[in-house]
Amino acid sequence: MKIVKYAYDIVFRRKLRTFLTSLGITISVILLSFIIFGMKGLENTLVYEFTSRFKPNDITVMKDGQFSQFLPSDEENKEEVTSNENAPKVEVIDDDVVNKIRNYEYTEKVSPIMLILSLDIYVETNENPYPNGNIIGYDTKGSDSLFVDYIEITKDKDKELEMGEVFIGKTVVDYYKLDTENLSDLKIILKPSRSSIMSNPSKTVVGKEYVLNVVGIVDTGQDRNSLIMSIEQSKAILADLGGFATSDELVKEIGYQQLMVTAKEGKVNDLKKFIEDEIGLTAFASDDFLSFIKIITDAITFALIMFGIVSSVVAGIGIINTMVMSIYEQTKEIGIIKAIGASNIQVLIIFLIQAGTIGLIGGIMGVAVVLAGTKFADPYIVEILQEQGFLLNKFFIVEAQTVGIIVLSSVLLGILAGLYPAYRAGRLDPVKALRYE
Amino acid sequence: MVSIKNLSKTYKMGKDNDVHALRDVSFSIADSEAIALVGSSGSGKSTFLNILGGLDSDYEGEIIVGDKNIKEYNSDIYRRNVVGTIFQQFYLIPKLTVEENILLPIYFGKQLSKNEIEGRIDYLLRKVGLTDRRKHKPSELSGGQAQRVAIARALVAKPQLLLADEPTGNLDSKTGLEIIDLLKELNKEEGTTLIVVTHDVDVAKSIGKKIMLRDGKIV
Repeated sequence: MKIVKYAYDIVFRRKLRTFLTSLGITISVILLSFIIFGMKGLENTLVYEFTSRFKPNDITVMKDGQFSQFLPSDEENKEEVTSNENAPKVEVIDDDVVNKIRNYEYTEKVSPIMLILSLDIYVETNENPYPNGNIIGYDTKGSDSLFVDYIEITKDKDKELEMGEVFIGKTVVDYYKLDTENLSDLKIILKPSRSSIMSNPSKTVVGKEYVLNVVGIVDTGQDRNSLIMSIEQSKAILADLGGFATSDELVKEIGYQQLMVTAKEGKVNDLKKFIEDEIGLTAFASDDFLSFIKIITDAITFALIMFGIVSSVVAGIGIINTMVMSIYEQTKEIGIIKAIGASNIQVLIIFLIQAGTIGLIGGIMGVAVVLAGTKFADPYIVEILQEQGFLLNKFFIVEAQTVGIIVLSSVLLGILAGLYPAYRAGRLDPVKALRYE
Repeated sequence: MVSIKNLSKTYKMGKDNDVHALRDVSFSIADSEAIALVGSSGSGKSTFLNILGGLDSDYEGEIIVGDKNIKEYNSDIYRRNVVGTIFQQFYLIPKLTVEENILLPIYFGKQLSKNEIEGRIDYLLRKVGLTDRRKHKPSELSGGQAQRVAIARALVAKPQLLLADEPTGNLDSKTGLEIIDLLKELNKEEGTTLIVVTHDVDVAKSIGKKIMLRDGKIV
């Protein structure tokens, strides 16, 4: 304990230098902490966003290859791809496919999804189309967990959409600055879009027009769906646009784009296997998306931490420099304490304590800045993300354990950087050290 | 008892240039005895002190302190507990108080209880007349006072042997003689063997017994 007191006395003799050297560590701690806490926050935001809308039992089903670029390429998935080689190939997700899945023993529910890409959305009171309009057909109701919020106009939140009815997205309401209190007669008009990257309209569709009643407003959060109608309604529109005689013919020839399948409790993997191996479609369970999110955020975190480590190395060199200076200044004192009985190890420890203390001070200052910074920045980041439709109340999640590890790592970095100078100090010849001027 | 037999030390200053700092030095001193080792600059005094102080272990011959060859001691423990050294330049640590400077050897080793430490420091401060300077820094002391602190520090761990390297060299003659008197007094009280290295004949006289060193040899 006495040695520690003596070592501390030496550290605080040069307060400014100790402070400045610690700053290097502080900067490194700030950088690494923001990377770690920021990426953790991002991951949590994405996971929360996802899990609040998709239940663990939900499976998104698509045709093979449609979504393969999003597959995490770990070993597990490679095996899956191999096991799928013998599975049948599905060209069209038609009602036969839907029924096969629906009749499987572990299936709770199957909801087909249609995307309408070639129509522009007009609000009857305005001549300009809504930009970036996404229209989907999906049997749903206002209370669906897919929606962050639902404002009833004429449709009770527990009743499903019917023909001729649509929910409009909150983004559309905001865009046209519509008064939500006064929308009971609002109609939406869909007209074929002009040529764009999302559509190639044909001559047959020119002049077509579909008028639908707005029955509710939905906040779709991060999903950019601007208009939602029942699957039957979307099939009717797509059949008309595509020149099919009936909706059934459309489904038979073109099929659904996606299916949202819900498995019975605890049977997700069985159902997923059935869909992939027996039906021949690609199935993504919530867990697949979550592990995908985790792989991406982990990879980015790792890359950023590499940058952070560079700053740690610089901080470490700063400590080495300070410690070497300190040894030159204290050569005579080292000689004195050795002459009165300090051992090489004790001198080494004294200098390691100094180096560790510099690390500790830097770590504590860094953590203080990080805690204050995250507290200050959190509401702004939350606000920005909420504006973007993310669901969250808190972005930075600062865990006491992580803070402890960061401070401890700073001390270790200090000690590591102090090893060589401390070794040199310990090995000083007392006779020469006492003569040093 | 301190007994030195055939102590020699040679510095190799290049291939064929050996400097014999000490040659066959032999003498012995009884417990509680004080002697002055007198010699001019370059006579080998410092080399002798470094060896006896446990700072230099590269020598020929044999040194017995108490009943043990000093090479048998752990050199750190020897410096901490067996020998105490007083330097011409005092070598106090500027940032530590008088009390902390005195206790420094205890910081590095000897396990003493709080009461023992308190008793020892009270006794030593009283002996060297610095009780009222306990919390002062070395910069607030006169040369004589600083050397008294150094004496207290050298004695704090109750060493068997006390070495004083030109202890009066940085002091005026009056203060110097006071310091010598103090050393002699403590030498009797503590029963420590005292070796004072000096080039000052008056100091040597006041010690009593003296040994002359010239060109590394006793004359």
